[in-house]
Amino acid sequence: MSMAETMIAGRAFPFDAALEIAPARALMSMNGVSKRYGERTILDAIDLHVAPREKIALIGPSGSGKTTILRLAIGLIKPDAGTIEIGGDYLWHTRSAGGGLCEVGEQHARRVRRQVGIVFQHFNLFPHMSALANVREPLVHVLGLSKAESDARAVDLLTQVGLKEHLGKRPGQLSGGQQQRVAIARSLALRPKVMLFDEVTSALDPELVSEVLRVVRELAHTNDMTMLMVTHEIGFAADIADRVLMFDNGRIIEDGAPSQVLKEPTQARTRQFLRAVLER
Amino acid sequence: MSTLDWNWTFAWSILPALLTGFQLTVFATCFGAIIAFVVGLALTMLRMTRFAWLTFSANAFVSFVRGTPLLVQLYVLFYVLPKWGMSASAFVTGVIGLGVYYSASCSEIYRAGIEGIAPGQWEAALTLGLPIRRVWSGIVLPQALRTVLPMLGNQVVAMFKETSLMSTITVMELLAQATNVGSIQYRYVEPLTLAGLLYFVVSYGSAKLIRRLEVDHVNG
Repeated sequence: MSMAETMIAGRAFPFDAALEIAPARALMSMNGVSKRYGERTILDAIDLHVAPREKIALIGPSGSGKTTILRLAIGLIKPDAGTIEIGGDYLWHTRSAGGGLCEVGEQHARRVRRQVGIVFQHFNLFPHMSALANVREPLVHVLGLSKAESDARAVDLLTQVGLKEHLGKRPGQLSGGQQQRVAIARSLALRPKVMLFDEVTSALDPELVSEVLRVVRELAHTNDMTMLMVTHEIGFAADIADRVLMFDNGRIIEDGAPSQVLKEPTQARTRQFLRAVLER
Repeated sequence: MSTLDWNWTFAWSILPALLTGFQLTVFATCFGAIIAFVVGLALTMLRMTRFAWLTFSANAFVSFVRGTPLLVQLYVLFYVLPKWGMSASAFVTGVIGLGVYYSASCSEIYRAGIEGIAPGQWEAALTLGLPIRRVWSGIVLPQALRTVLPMLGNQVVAMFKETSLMSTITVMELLAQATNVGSIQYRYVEPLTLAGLLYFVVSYGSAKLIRRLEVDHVNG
């Protein structure tokens, strides 16, 4: 799908496009996905189809299920109902000979989720390793590259996020913004098709937010990457997203282009949420 | 002359015998610590597997070892096992007894260290697709061990003092040497005082050292 088509799919016919056109070509699909913790329903029968190269911003009040979507998409948690498909493979299922779906385990999920990378709110860098070693870790132990090749690639990635001068520093010696950029480089190391960003600037001091957003923005503009971003940075979302999903109470209550969802929301709940966030 | 008088000549003359015992005490501590660290780690891993019967067995073993006196365990190893055809030298028996006894508390310490690892570390490792072996060897254990190192050190200091129990199963370690040379002339003041001093100097010095390492660690 060309960029123009993606934009049409995302912008011109938001709801119908997402549900009817996208599934066949979707890079990632969720069908009827639900997640409960005890009595509480976090996500309620979500259908979501993400086209290749699409940049989607997930907004909504805390506890509305945005982060849970990302954790499901990378297989950190298992849905209670529904299926998740990434790049043509089911995350927790396979097709049986008869055509039906049967559940499969962790091993299978590991292979499928390799196409997905995630950047966490609290960076989650390995504190006992240098920035370089953090990025090298998946290259050596997942891709099985030699140390020399891994080093070269890790240096490239860290240079890309502007940290060439800090290769040997441990996370504790870096600012929050720098740590988050190392985390982004580390996730990029495996060249995932889909990148997930989970409130990547929420734990940062205000003056460090822009350096991280700049890196994410660059990624969005220069890569063919598909992105799902949970964010409270509405301006940022408006700027780089092709599509915005508004979550409330475990459901997607609004799905459309940023110009529509953020500027002319149809739902009262969205208007209320945007007002609250913008007035912060 | 009362036997409570301090006799420097006698004290000097028994020093070589005490130092031989001291050497054995140090060896026993080192070997015992190695056993405790390795078996303790193995127990911790068993306790954390998803196989319920392994977890149960390891937990039961730890509870049993911690719930019975080391002296009783040493006696069983020394007097009972040979009757079932299992025997080793007194020294080896003592070292195994000490090592296994301390492996139980080391296992608790490891577990605390592993449980103290932030969930985000597991999540980062898993979402990067690192193989589970690497998650343990490269991410979880290096961090857990670093935080529990002072506590493991304290276990070694405690074990160093407890090696004196090996004297009850005929191992000629420091205390056994002291009582042995004391019994020859029925003079116990010098050998026991010197033995006590040796225990104190080493354990106090080590404890101080561990505390300094701990402070350095906390201060980064």
